[in-house]
Amino acid sequence: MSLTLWNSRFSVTFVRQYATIFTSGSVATSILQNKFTNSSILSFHNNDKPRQRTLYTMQSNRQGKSQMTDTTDSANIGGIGAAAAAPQHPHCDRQTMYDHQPNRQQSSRGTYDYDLVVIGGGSAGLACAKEAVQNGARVACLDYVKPTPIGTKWGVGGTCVNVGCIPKKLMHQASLLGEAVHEAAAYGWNVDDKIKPDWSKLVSSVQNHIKSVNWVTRVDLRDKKVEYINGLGSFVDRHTMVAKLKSGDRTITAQTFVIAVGGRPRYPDIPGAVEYGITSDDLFSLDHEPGKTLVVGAGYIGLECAGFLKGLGYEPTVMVRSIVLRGFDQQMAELVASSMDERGIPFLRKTVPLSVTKQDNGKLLVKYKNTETGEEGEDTYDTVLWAVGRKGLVEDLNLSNAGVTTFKDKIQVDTKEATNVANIFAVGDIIYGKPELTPVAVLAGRLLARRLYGGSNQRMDYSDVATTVFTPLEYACVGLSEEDAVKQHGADGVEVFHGYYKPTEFFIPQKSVRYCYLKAVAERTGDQRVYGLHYLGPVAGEVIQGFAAALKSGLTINTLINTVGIHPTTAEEFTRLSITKRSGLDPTPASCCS
Amino acid sequence: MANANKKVIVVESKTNFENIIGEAGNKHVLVEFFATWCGPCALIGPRLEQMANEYAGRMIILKIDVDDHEELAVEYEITSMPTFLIIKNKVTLTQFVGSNAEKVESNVVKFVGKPEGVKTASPEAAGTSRAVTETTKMDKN
Repeated sequence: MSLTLWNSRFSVTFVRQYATIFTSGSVATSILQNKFTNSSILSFHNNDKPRQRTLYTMQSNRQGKSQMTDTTDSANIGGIGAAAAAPQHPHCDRQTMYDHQPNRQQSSRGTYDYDLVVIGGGSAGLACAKEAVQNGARVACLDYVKPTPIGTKWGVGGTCVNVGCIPKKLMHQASLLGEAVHEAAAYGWNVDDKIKPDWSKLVSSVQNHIKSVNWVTRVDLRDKKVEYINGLGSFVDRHTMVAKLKSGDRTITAQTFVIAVGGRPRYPDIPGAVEYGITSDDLFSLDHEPGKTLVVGAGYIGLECAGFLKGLGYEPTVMVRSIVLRGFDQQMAELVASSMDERGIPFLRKTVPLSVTKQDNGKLLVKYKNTETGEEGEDTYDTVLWAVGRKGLVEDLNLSNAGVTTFKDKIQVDTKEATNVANIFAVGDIIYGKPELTPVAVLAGRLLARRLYGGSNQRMDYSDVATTVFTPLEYACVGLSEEDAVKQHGADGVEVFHGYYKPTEFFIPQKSVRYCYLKAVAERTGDQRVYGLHYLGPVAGEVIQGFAAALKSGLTINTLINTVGIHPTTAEEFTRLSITKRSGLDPTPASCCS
Repeated sequence: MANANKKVIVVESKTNFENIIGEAGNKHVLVEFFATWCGPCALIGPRLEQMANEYAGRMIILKIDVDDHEELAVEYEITSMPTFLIIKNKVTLTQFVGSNAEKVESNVVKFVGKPEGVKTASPEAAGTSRAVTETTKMDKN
């Protein structure tokens, strides 16, 4: 197609808008071939407005403008291809068609390069970008990974795919399989009990999987016509960003921005932390065995990592500053810690690290202090893993140029994920005060795109989000913790049903059932609406997922205990709950079925 | 010429690829788009080396790493690996996906002919290869 003719026929504004299209060759044809599903793009089907169809996908009313193009359009071939071929046709009144441009002025994208630029190619960003394109927007997605201090980096997909949920679950599975092999002997299998894990094979398998997900993500972005820009973006003003690419800087303008930059692990402010310690960013691709590991931090990241390291035969120790699993039901949190302790993972309670130094033999010497007793101690480790929290990546964005305010290192948004600047939104881990979970980010990102470009009014519901901690004995929950329910409804307004249980499969290998426990936190009166469910046991995520939907539908204790359980499972224990905490009765069952 | 040990050529750049295709003359070119992290690709690797020997002089086998040569992967619309192409005189005769050795072999036999020692006139003419074509048609389902 004759690009020069195309450009010359258009107004100056139009050329500027399309400048970025024609520099990225394949995007030009993809724009022209783009199919819009949004019903407001009826003009396409009317066949006589090829130029209106391209890219101006705002909900502007096109009807009023149809009359003046009728005569000129009769000579048009019509359809997508016509827009490209049209400038070469000698008989059409190009001048009138292109000079008039009424819809271009009406479209809110105006003279910007894109309708939407999403900053961050992770769970939130990708979901938002893809949904926006499906609703007719022209979208670019920026993604960039700053290497860790030891040089680790990864491809597109964000934290979950590369250094979060996915590799975590795979390593957790690897460690559970190691356990299972030992249990198999009790079930009659002739297994060599001396099995050993091969760390480098595990890492290689995990990384191969991650790379395949990176690939599929890239292909998906291409297929969905989202322009992927591998660069670090920062704001120049509220409609302009500059992206630092490998090949130089690129300025990008957009009507709307969505900030979805997520977070990265924190390093403590002590000597040797950055030089000698690693984080979850590095662990899943570590090119040597972790060995004896100090895990500093007892949030879910620290506990999950310590859990699978133990299962793989390494010796982790967990250093806890104050409480375990902050933000979670504390009774359950302590049961999780006890179950890990029972497996031989020591916890250094009320302890903070003071410094890390490297010894001549290559091992790391960590000095620490017990904050209660003031006693100091030290020990040597092969690896020190910081799991002391994650910070939002606001610092590189130059948010002040856009006027966006931050709170601590996160961005505060309203119920529509809007920041204090009208055309800038934020979604995912970067926002303040919401669960940092992939499914939350994905759904919130999608709903935001639907509100922006699909005419939807639906807002994200952040309440009653189910979650799972993948420690060796897993903990899953949905709804309120016991302490939050009591805070909201008063101790007298809450009834807690609880019980220990014994999974059938645990008997033969004599696996400990000591911490297999669940509870339902409910309204005390009437049908007893369930406020929260908590489960500690095998495949906790699988058990709780269905109950999350039940809770959202208004599950009551009455319904729960009248639901017939599936036997033998562990999930059925929820239907067998009968003992309340208030009764003081022993929640430990005598036997399985009666 | 590829060295005696490894006959499958690893493409170094888009220019390198275009040169090989351009200079192939009457030889067929079997192209495999692969990835270092793709298990099935690793499985079929040895068979491709074997075939490079079996078809020496009649067919060149190339490997393209999709992570190193994204441009080429996009140009050929590669979505999964391994994807194979058979090219002759710069024209793509066929493109198919999957680490299935039989499928690769039957496609090569269909377009290039049987391996060394079992020569037929041309795949399209010989009666025997019609039977091969029938089988490959079924394979494609």
